Amino acid sequence: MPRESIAMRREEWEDFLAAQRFVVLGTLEPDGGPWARLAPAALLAGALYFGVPAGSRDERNLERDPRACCASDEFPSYYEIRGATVHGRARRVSDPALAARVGPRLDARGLPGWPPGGALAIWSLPLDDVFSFDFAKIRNRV
Amino acid sequence: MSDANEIPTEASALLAQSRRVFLLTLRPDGSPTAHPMTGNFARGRLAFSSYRKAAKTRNAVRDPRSCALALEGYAGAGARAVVTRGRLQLLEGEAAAELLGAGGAAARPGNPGVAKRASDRLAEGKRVVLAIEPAEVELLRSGEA
Repeated sequence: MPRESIAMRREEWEDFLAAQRFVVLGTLEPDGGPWARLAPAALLAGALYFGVPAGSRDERNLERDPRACCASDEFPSYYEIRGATVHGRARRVSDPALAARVGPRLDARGLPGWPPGGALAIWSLPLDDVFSFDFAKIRNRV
Repeated sequence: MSDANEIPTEASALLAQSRRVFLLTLRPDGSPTAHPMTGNFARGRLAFSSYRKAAKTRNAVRDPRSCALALEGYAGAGARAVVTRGRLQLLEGEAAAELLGAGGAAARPGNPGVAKRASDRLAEGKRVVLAIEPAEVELLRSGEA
């Protein structure tokens, strides 16, 4: 019997991601293994934007190999668990007008691992490879 | 960043307390993916229950290089987090159940029906345990790079 699909529809994961203030950013280390860091994020203009400290390990990873992912989740109760992971090739935002629009939405204050007042580099991921799940869609409950 | 033999006490305590963990694995093309998981730290290893046929399990079998980011809870990002890197090991049967039990997973509050079904699936071999033996550990604090 095929497993039931508990994936969110596009409008559902867009709403879910739009509500997230931060994501877990995954990048690739020089040895090809994964690396993770918290990153401020915002969904707008058809892409997921995120920030990394300028010159950080994360940014060096992205510059060397832009393949990345951004993930977030919620767990109010077991059957309300939701999550989404966006995959793709990250692009640095170099357009000053776009950076000025996105920058204020990326709030890194209080995120573990972030230096206070440090310079922020803005990157984005497209929304064409998104994995999501919503446990509210599980029908076979116990 | 510390190596596995010297996990800072604070990082170890946070790993033991944390349930909200993002497990990062590599997809077949080598790109990273992240799986929101319930983590269980016991005997120096960070363990996760997973279906044998799940993508994360298949990723781990194909390429065991992994990373995990553990947060303090689900109310925001919290003030601290722990990043670990290491190789994922697949455990089955008694070894798997023993590691999850050693972390006290069975005694934690939650959905008892879900916990029992996961335990049954582990006994049936449909579920397995993925465990990271940390090679690198870093404690992240709010306000610190």
